[in-house]
Amino acid sequence: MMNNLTNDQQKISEQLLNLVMQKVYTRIAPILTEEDMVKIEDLNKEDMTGNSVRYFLLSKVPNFDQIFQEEINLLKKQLESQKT
Amino acid sequence: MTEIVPPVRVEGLPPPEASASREQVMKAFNRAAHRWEGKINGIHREINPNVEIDDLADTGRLSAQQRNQFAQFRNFQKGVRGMTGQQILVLVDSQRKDAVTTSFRNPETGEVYTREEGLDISGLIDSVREDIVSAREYISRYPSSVSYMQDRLDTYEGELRILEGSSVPYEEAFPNALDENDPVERARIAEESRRIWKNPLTSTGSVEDDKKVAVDRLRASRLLRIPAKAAAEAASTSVRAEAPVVYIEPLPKAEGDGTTLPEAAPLEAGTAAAAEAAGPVVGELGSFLTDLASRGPEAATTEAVVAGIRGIADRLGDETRIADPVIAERVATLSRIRIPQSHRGRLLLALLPLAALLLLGIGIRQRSNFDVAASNRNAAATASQAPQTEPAPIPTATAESGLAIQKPFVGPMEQNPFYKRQPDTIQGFRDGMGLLDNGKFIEADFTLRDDYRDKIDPDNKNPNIYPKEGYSVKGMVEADIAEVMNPDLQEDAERLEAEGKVLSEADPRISRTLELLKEKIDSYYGDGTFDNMISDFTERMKKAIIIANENQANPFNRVLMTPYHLYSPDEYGPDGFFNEQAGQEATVRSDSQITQGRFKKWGIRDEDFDKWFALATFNWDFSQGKDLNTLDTRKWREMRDQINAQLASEGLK
Repeated sequence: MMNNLTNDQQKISEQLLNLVMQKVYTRIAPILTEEDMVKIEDLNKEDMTGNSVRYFLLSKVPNFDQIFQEEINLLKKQLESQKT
Repeated sequence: MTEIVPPVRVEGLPPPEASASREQVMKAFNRAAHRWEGKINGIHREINPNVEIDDLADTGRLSAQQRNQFAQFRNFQKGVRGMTGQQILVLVDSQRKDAVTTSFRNPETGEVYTREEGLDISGLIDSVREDIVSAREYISRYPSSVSYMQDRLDTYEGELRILEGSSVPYEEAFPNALDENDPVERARIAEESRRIWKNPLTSTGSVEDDKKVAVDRLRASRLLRIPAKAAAEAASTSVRAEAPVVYIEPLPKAEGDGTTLPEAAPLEAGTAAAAEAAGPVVGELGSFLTDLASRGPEAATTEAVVAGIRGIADRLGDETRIADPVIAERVATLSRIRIPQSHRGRLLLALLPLAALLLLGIGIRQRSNFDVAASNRNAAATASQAPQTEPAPIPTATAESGLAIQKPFVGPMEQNPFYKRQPDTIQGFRDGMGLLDNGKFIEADFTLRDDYRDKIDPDNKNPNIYPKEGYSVKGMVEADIAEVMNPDLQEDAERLEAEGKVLSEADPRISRTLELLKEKIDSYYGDGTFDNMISDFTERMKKAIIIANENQANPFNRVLMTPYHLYSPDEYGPDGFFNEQAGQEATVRSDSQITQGRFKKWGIRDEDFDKWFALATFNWDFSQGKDLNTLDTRKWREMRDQINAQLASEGLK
């Protein structure tokens, strides 16, 4: 069964993060242009920390973090409704 | 016995003295007034970060159309207040073009709108009110003070009362309204009247009535403190004929049938539909959970949960690809980008409650296990300022409708509120903060946490916003220097940061480390060197912090915020601004190759910061203005070793 809850929670959180980010990206992808995508890839190669891309995305979608939070809340609502 | 009355002290204003000239008083008052305006505008931003602030009109960053719209909106607000007898607080979201009001009924449609609950701005209002009370008393001691100072204070008080929601008639709130007998005011009225008359959609058809509308608008403009020049420019600019903008609209409703992802939907509708379309995916997660739990404890493993979530994400990707391969490819590209480490930690922490829910769903119910998990959250997270509680819910209306993606400002760069590189806009911002007086800081020191930090980063709590919580700028500089000299302090600081805490500014090890360092620095470089160094670093750091914090949202206007640019005056100029023409890149070398840092104009590498700072700190020769290429790391190491030996002998290590 589950012995180490901290590690388990971390693993599950990581997967949930991937899922939530995918949903967020699906929402913001339509507003980005091809030039934006090229820029994002260049910034991702140039800056190992990821800060440049993050700030670029924020300049394109200022409420990016709010969207992420909303996706978490939607997910949580569904999970709570299914809790046994 | 004559009672001694203590002098009135007003932040940012010189102490009242008989020798102060009228010009000095007016100058000081103007500076303070800018700060009060900044505070009031900060209250607006506290309520709605997206609100279009009228101070932008002062610097010409709003287009003529936007100024016109805002003036119309204000006029409409006043009209509604007059009609309904209710005090309303109407906020404008410049991007979404809707508004949130309090107790407002649209007299035309009968719809009722309510304000978001839970916004406590009383503390902010009290703060400004205290300033105004002090300022009135201050002004009263100067018989040469002009009436316009009192007028401005009246205007601020009036606006505060509106912000509070008190039912005060317009004339009482703003007793010094527009003087139609004043020749300057008459000219403004004429200009505004002509502008309204030219627009068939705003004109009433009657010259006299148009003039009345013009007067109302200008009164509203005076409330907004738009200077005469800007108002005249706005009036003289031709206004495109379009329907008057009424910002009172219901919040957008959800669209889409929720079963398919949009293919080429408009942004707002597509966003809501995408949110709805995620329903089946999320529902699938719940179903998967139920199914897993039903198969018994052997099946309900972490690996199974992880695999299940991954499978759901893969299916979401497949569905997106079928609906729109271009979008799918972009999503795939975005999924490959790195998330900043501290930010990633914060995101994971926000998801921990969901992970706990999943584990609950498959049968893990022992409370003690979750207590353990909760106590280990800080260790699991890397963000220093991650929330300790579950994320606050989004207001109901927004969550149900789907949050619209906020678009960035579209328009000339000079009007972009995030475009702060120009010295005049930076100066304008600084004046608003009341921090600079002819290039020098008025206040000896400041903490950004309460007055500024929440204003510029109200939701994100970006850990890169400086100074850190609980620290003054000077304290931060001193703590950083002490940490460099004392590895124990550095380790403790990093450990605490991982737990979401900060090293106490009052830690005795900091003060003692600095004492020892001062002895050595002054001995090596000359008396007073250490104090000058701290003072210089603090002043430059304050400038850097303001600029950097201001530009956090826009990397292309970002100015390096660290002491890096303190030590390269050729590239950054004597006042610390990055000079793009002078230098694009610099390489730092140490004589022992311990550290080799390269910084580009858009940022620095965090892992180099401490080493850089250490090397630069103790090789700064104020008298000769040496740059980083003359680092004396041997001297630094010698000092550090001696200091740490002394600290150990005193039991501070």
